[in-house]
Amino acid sequence: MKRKSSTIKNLSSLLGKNKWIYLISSILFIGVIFFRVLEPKVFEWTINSLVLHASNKNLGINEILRFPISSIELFTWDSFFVILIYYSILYLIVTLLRSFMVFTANVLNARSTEDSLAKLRDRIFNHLQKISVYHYIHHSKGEMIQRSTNDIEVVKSFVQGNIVEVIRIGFMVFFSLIMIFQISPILTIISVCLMPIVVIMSLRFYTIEKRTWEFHEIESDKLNTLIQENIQGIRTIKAYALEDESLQSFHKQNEARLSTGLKHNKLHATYWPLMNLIVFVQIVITNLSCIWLASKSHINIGEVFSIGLYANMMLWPIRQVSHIISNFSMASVALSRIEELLSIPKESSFEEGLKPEKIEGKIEFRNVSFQYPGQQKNALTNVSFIVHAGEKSAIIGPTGSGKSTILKLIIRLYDVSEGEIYLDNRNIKEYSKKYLREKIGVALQNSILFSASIKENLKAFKNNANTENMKDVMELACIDKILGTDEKGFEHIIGEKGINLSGGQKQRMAIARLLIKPSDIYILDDVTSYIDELNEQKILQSFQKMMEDKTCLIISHKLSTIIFADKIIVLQQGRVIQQGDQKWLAKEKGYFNIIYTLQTEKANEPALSI
Amino acid sequence: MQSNHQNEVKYIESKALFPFIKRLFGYCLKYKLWLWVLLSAILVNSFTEAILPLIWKYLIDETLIANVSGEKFSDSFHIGWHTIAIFSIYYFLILALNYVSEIYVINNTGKMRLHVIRDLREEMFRKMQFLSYSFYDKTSAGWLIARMTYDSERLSELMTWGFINFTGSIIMIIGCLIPMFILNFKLTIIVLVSLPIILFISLKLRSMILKYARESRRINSELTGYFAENLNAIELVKSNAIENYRSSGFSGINKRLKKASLTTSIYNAIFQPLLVFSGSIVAGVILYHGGYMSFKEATISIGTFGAFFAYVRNIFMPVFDLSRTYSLALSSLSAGERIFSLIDESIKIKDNENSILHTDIKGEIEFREVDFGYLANQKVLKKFQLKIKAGESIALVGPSGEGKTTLINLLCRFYEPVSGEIIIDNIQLNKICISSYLKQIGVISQVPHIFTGTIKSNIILSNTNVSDEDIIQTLKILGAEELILRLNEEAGNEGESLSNGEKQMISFARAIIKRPKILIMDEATSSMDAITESNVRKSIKSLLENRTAIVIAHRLSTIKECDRILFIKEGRIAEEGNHESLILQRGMYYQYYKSYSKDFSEIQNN
Repeated sequence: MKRKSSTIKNLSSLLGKNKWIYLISSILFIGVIFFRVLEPKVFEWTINSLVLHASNKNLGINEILRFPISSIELFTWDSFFVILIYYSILYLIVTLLRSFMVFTANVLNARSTEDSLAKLRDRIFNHLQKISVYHYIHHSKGEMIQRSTNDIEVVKSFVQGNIVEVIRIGFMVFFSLIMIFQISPILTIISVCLMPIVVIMSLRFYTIEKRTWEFHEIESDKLNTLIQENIQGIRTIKAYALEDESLQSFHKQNEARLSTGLKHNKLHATYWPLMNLIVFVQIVITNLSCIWLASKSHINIGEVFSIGLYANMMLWPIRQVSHIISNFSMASVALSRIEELLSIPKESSFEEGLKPEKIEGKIEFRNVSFQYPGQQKNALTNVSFIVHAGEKSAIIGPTGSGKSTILKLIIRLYDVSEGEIYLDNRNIKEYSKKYLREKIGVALQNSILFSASIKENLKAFKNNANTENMKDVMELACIDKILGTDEKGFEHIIGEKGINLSGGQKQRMAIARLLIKPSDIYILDDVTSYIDELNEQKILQSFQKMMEDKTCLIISHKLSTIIFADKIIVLQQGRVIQQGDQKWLAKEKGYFNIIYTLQTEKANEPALSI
Repeated sequence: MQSNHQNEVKYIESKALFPFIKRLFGYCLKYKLWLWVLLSAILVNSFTEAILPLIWKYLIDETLIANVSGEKFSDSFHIGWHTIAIFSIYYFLILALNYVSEIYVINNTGKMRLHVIRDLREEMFRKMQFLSYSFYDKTSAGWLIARMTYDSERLSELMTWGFINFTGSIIMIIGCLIPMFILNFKLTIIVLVSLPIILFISLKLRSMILKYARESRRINSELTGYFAENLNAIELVKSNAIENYRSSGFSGINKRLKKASLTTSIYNAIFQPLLVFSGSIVAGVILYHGGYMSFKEATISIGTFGAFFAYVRNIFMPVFDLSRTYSLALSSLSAGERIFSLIDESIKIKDNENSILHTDIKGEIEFREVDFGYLANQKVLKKFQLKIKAGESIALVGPSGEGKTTLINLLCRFYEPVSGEIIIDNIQLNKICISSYLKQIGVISQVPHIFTGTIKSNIILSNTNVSDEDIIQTLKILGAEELILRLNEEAGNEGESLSNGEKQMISFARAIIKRPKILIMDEATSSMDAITESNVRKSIKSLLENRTAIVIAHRLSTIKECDRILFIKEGRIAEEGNHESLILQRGMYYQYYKSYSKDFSEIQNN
C-alpha cells in the first residue's frame, strides 16, 4: 500500500498546476454520473405514472411532474399524452445535459493532462541533459528511451482514461446505492453482498499482476535492445556471415518474451472472467430479491424496473475494475520507472561558480589521479604538468593511456579523484561547469553529428552565426567542396536522415563545428584520424591560423598532427613518463623517440631512392 | 524514427484491400484450432450477454405483471417457488456458459496475439538479416525499429482484439435485435433505422480523429528520434554546454506534439457525448412509443416495454465498439502495409540453387569491366579492370570518396555491380554461395562495430571452434598483449568502454582468427597509436603470407609491405606500380606522398 500512495503522490506532482483543472473536470464527471443515474428514475416515473393512469385514477399535474410547481389547473387535454410527452422530453433534457457535461469534462481533462505530459517530457529531457555523463554508462539507452516514450504513454492513458473511469465507477456505485436505498434499504445490502469478494480478489490480482507485468517488461526491453543492437551492427553481421547466430539469439529472446507474455495473459484469463461471473451472480441475486420483495408489496412495479437498471448500471462498470487494476499496475510501474530516471542527481555547480570575462589559458595539473566511477584501475595516476597561456601542447601515448581522460577532466565531465587542476591559477572546481564548456573548444574523438541541416549543426555551436561565418569554417575544415557553401547547400540535412558522410567527412564537419565556436582554449582529441593526408595538412594550417595565440591541447598518436606543438607530454598507463619540447624528446630515449623514429623512418627511407 | 522508406506499398489505396486483409488473417489462421474455439466462444459469450434482458422480461411478466393492480401489487400476490427455480436454472446455465466462454475468449485472444507478434517479428527479423547493404543505405535504423516494435504490436492487436471486438459487437447487435424483433416488430424498426445513421456519424468522426492521431504519432516518432539522438551525442552536448540549444529544439517538437494530441483529444471528447445523445434520442422515442403501445393500445406487456428500453440502452454500446475497432483498423492497416513492405522487400543478393559451395578459395580476384554506382544516376566505378593473383597483396591509395571502399564492398558482395563481373578463382562471384565465401574473407574496417559482450566474444564471433590458445596466439602476433588480460572484460554497450584504437585491434583479431584466404584492410590502423600500429605492421608481413590481401590506407606507412600499389582516382586506376617506381613517375602518387612526408622533414629541420 505504501507503493500505492507514492504512486498517487507521483501523479499529483506530475499534474502540477494543472491539478485544479483536472479536479474541475473530475467534478464535472461526477455531475455526469448524477444525470446518468437520474435516467432510470425517469423511466420508473414514466411507468408508475402510466400504471396509475391506467388504473383510471385522475392525476393532478403535480403528481405527473413529480414535484409541486404551482396549483395549475388540471390539464384540459388527455393527461396520458401529457405524461408520455413530458417524460420523453425530460429524458432527453437529462441526457442532453449529461452529454454536454461529458464533453466539457473531457476537454478540460485533455487540456490538463496533455499539458502536464508535455511538461513531463520536457522535464525528463532537460533532466537527462543535466546528469553526469557517468550515468549514461550505467543506464542503457534503449531503457532511457523506453522510459521517456512508452512509459509516458502508459501514464497518459491511465490519467486520461482510467482515473476518470475510477471516478465514474465510484460515483456510479454511490449514486445507484442511494437510489436503491431510497426504494428499499434491505435491497441496498443485498445488491452489494458479493462486493467484498471483488475487493479482496482485486487486491490480490493487483499484486500478482504487477509482478507479472514487470517480468514481461524486462523481457520486452531485452528484446528491444537486441533488435536495436542487431540493426546497428547489421553490416558487421553480414560481413562475417553471422546471420544464423543472430537469428538464433533473437529467436531465443522472442520465445522468452512470449512465455512471460503468456503468463501475463493467463493471469487475465483467470481473473477477468471470474470477476465477470461474480458481477453476473450479483445481478441475478439482486433481480430475484427484487421480485421477492415486490411479492411482499415492499416495492412497486416501476421500482422493480429501475432497480433492475440500477443494478446493471452499478455492477457492469465493476467488471472494468480488473482492467483498471491491470492498467493501474502498469502505470505505477511506469511512473516509478520515470521517477527513477528523474531521481538521478543533476551535475553540481553547473551554473554557479567563477565566470571571468576571458580565460587566459594556463592549465596546470597537480598530482592528479582519477578513477572512472565503478572501475578498479586508475585511469590517471599522479599526473602533473603545466601548459602556459598561449602554448601549444600535445599529449601523446598509446591507446588507453588516459589521454582522453585529461580532456574530460578539464571540461569537468568528471571531477578528479585526487590532486587539483588549476585554470589561470584558480582551482577548476571554482568555475561554473557551463562556463568552462562554453569557453573551451573541444573536439571529441567520436565525431557525432546531429541529423539536422548543416546550418543547424553549426548554429548549435554559435547561435548568431551568419552565412559568412559558416562559409569560412567550412572552407577551413576542407568540407566546403563536398557539402557546398551557399545558403542552399547549408540547408542540406546530414546524418542518419540525410547525406551519408564517410568517417573522414564527419570529422571534417566536426572540425568546422569546432572552429565556429568562439573559444579561449582548444582541446582536440584525435580529430584527424580518418582524414586523408592532403586534407589533413590543410586543416592543420587552419588550426594554426585559428588558434594562434590561444592555449591548445592536442591529443593524438600521429606525429603529423602535433608538429606545431611547443611541448609534448607523453602518457603511458595513466602516468606522465616524459615531457618536453619536440627536439629534445626526439633525442631522449623513450616513447616519443620510438614513435618518432618509427614514423620519420618511413618518411625518409624512400626519399633516398628518389 | 521517420518513415523515409520509399517502398511502402499502399495496399489500401491500390484497391488490393481484400488480398491484404486475407494475408493479414493468414497469420491468425496458422492457429486454426485456437481461432475456431475463439469464434465459438465469442458467439456464446456475446449471445449469453445479449439474452439476459430477455430472461428478465419473462421473469417480470410471469411473476409480477399478472398481479398488478394500481401502483401496488395485489395483496394475494404469490410467486411459485417453481417459477423461481426454473429461472434460477436459466440464469445459472447462462452464467456458466458466459463464464467458460469468457475464459476462452480472453485466453485465446491473448495467446494468439502474442504468437502473432512473435511470428511477425521473427519473419521481419529473418528478412532483415538477409537484406543487402543497399537496403540499409536507404533505410534508417529508426524506421526498422519502429516496424519491429510499435507496428507489430499494433497489427497483432488489430488481428486479435480488433477482430474479437468486431465479431463480438456484430453478434451483440444481432443478439439484441433478434429478441427485439420477437418482442415487437414496430419498435425494433425504429431502432433499426437509427442504427446505420449513428454508425455513419461515428465512423465519420472516427476518421477525423484518426487524421489528427496520425499527425501526433508522426510528431511523436520525431520526438523519439530527437531524444535518441541526444542520448547518443550526450558527451558532445555536455562538453560544449549546448544543452539549452538542444532543449529548445526538443520543446519545439514537444509543443507541436501537445497541440496535435490535444486536437485529437478534443475530437474524441465530442465523440462519446454525441453518440450517447443520439442514442438517447432513440431511447426517448422508444419511451414514448413503448409507453403508448403498452398502456394505450395494450399491444405489448409492461415487461416487454422494460426489456425493450434496456435493449435500446444496450445496443449502442456495440456500435460504439464497432467504431473504435474501425479506427483501430484504419490506423493499424498502415502498420500492416509497412510491415509487409519490409517482409516483401526483395533480397537482391542471395544464393540460388546453382550456387557453388566454394570452401577452398585460392584468392585470385578479377574485376572485369565493372560499372557501379550507389545511386542510379551516379557512377563510382567505370569499366573497372583489375586482376589480382592469388597470394598477391595490393594497396589502394588515393583521395577519399573515389571508389576504394566501393571496390571492397563489391568484392565482399555487399553490393552487386551494375554491369561487368567479378571473378574469384575463375568462378563468377555471384555463383558462389555467399556465406561460405564470406567465412573465408577477413574484413578489417575503419569503424568496426562492437557487440555487447566480452572482448573475447567479440573476437570469436561465430567461430566457436576457436580455442583460447588461438586467441592468445593471434593477439600476440598482433602485439596486443594487454588485450589478452582483458579478454573477459565487458565491451559495454556498442563498445563504449573501449577506445577506437582498441576497437580496431579487436577487429583485426576478429579477422585474423578466421584464417581468411582473402584479407581486406580498410583504414584498419587509423585510430591506433604509433607503437601499437608499428607492432601490427611488424606482423603484417607474416599475415600477408599465403593470402591475397587488399589494403586501403591514407597512411602511406601502412602500405609499404604490399606487392603492388594502385592509385585510385575518379573510379579508375590512375597509377600503378610499387612504391619506388611510382615515386619516380612523379605523378599523383608522388604529390600525395610528398605532402605526407613534408611534416616530418619539418620537424627534423627545426
